[in-house]
Amino acid sequence: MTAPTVHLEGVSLRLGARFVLDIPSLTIGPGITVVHGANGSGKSTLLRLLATVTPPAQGRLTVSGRSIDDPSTQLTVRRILGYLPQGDTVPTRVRVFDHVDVVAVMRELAPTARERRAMVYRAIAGVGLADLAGERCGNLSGGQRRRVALAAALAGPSALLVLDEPDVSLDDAQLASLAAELTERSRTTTIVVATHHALWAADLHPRQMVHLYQGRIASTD
Amino acid sequence: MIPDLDTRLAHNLDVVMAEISAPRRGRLERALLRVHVPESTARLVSATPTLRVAWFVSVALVLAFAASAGDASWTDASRFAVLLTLAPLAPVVGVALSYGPHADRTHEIAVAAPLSGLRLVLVRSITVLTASAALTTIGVLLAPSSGWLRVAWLLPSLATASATLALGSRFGIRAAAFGVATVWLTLVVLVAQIADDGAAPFGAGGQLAAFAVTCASAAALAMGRRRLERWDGR
Repeated sequence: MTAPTVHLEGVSLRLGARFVLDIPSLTIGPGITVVHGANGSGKSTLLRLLATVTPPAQGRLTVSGRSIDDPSTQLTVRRILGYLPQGDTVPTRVRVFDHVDVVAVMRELAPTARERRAMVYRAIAGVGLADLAGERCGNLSGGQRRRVALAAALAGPSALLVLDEPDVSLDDAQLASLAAELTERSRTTTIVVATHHALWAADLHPRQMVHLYQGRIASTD
Repeated sequence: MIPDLDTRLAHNLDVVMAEISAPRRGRLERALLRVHVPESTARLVSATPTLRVAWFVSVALVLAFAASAGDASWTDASRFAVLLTLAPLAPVVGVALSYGPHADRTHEIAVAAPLSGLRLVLVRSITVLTASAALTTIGVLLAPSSGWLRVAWLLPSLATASATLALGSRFGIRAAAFGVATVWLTLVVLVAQIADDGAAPFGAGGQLAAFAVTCASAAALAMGRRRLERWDGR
């Protein structure tokens, strides 16, 4: 499983008459790419495209040279994808382990339940919540719930990680720990992170920074 | 050799720790595993958002009301028709509460996952249908009924649930549920008024129509399954 290169060409999405995203060309290679921009700049829309959740209205999105319009390519991409959407994605009434495990089932992470559950435990321990594995998610703080969502996205091997504001609600120590984890993974993974947090973004040592403004790329560093 | 040994030891430790720290599976999941339902399917069933006490209680109350509706001047068939009218709405509400971004916080993750959207929808819908059927059966046993009318809610329930899914893949589950419920109630009232018989909508013609709707909806859902693999915020 090698880290893929993602390429967008002439990609646009509209909401009514307004363009919410309009990207003439963008290439995202292995390593960390940070997507930065104000609220409503199109970060989450871009990440939904990259995570194959929303198809582009126009243009072409390819992963390792293959168009995701093709259902088999879309499935291949989803098999190597770890995705953290924006917002609270953790149900309140389920337990931490069960939530991460159900997501792992949807992600078809392992051929056997035993292997899958080991991956789930490793991911939960990786975000520092091993002691709370049996706790109901509704009893956790906002930061802990975000870490549960992160565990679900980071569980198992992924060649493509798409993380929408993973830093929300995390304290300084957790941010440092997440930066270290992503930096470690970036050697073998294509990672796209959307964040408002410029200082934390610098800690990630990204190979590319994409600044969005009103759905368009304002600059890339 | 040492790194391999370390990796294997770490993996084995994760396996052991997972079994120690994982909470005990719920009753439903354990029951499904006992009857040899695949482990991954049992996990998905147990995570169906609709399976909440509040939903069971609401449906049970509505069906209990329906089972006891009417007064002595009504015929048994007319009294039972109230239950037959409301029973097919239970799976519609259940389906609306089990799939889609408004009902399931993990919906966007599910869309981005390799698990087929159609499989997830079917697993959850069958779960909801089974739960609705169990509750309706209790209502039927309480209501004044006899003969084949006792099972006359089955095909209409399948028809309303499958139509909700088929239309939901195109228009959003909530809008589809509202539309199907409205059309169902309108048709039942119209047919009953025209025939001057509360049980008329559930006769042979009604059952055939329900069967046709079920087949057409299943075909439409299969053809539109790729729409279940996308997120459009509805």
